[in-house]
Amino acid sequence: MEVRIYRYNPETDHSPYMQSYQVESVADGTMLLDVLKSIKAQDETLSFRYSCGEGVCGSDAVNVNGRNLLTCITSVNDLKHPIEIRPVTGMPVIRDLVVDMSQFYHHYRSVDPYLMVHDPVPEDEFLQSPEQRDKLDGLYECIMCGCCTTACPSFWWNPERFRGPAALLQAYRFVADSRDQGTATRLKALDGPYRLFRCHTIMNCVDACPKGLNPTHAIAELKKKMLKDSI
Amino acid sequence: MITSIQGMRGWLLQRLTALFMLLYFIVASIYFLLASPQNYVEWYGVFSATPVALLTVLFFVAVLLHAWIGLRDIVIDYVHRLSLRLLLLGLIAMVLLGQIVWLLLVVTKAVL
Repeated sequence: MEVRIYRYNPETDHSPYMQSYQVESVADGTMLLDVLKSIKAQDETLSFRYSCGEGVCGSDAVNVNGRNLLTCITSVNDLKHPIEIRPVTGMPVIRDLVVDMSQFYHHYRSVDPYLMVHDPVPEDEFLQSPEQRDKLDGLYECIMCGCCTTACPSFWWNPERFRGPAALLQAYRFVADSRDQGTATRLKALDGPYRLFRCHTIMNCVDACPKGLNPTHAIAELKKKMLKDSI
Repeated sequence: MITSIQGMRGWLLQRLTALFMLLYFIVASIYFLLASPQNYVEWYGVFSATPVALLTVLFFVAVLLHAWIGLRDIVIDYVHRLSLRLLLLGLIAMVLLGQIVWLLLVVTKAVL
């Protein structure tokens, strides 16, 4: 099996290049992460991130054959060969497949991803009805891998100012939460030409999300909520 | 114009103008299918009626606003150098405003 990998070490390489590797005797259904590990055994200079290996931590997002995905939950059977692996798009490359996610985390922090409560906090626990809790389904499962944000053309064009689908999904996760009292502050912070309204419903985020989430829907709900609250 | 219709307001206005344009287009299409004016005098008669002239002006104002918001979005997305962005936005605004002035001249001439 041939795997072509993006290589770049800013300390020694003048520019990035693609390096081809041959991996022998790959069993059916092997995950791409295991293939990368076997390549790492051949060439220990290759750098990539991974941690849990089961699609929970979100460390191993890369661009494979033009699509963002998690290597640990992608079987090589489902990929076109030769497999071409590049770092996720739109973020500075630190080395090989490792990118600098600072901008991504900055946007995440800027949507205040925690409950804002102005009333006195209950003695024991916040109560939610099953219906109120159901509203968080499809929102809280985000693993912050960045597959969606780095697949979004609006983020590519305005990475410093557009929050990106992952951060906006989180913003809606708290707007939709019955326990949160910061909706007005959150929506006010998202108005303006850049932070939310750079989204043009391209839906690459939905296509890229390895957890099957729908940031485009969350963004539409934010706009609807903003509209309702402004009337 | 640049600062007042952006964010939520710009987004909403783009949708409202689209809705108005669609309704105008549907009503105008039905009218012209049924009435089908045959010559210049009949066409002139249709557009010199004040309600039609007013709705037509509104239609083109909607086109102007819709186009402004859409084109500005494209410029914001793709043009990052401030001087070039201002130049392009200025040119777009001039063309759009020129068209609306032209339209107003045509319609007032027809109505008066």
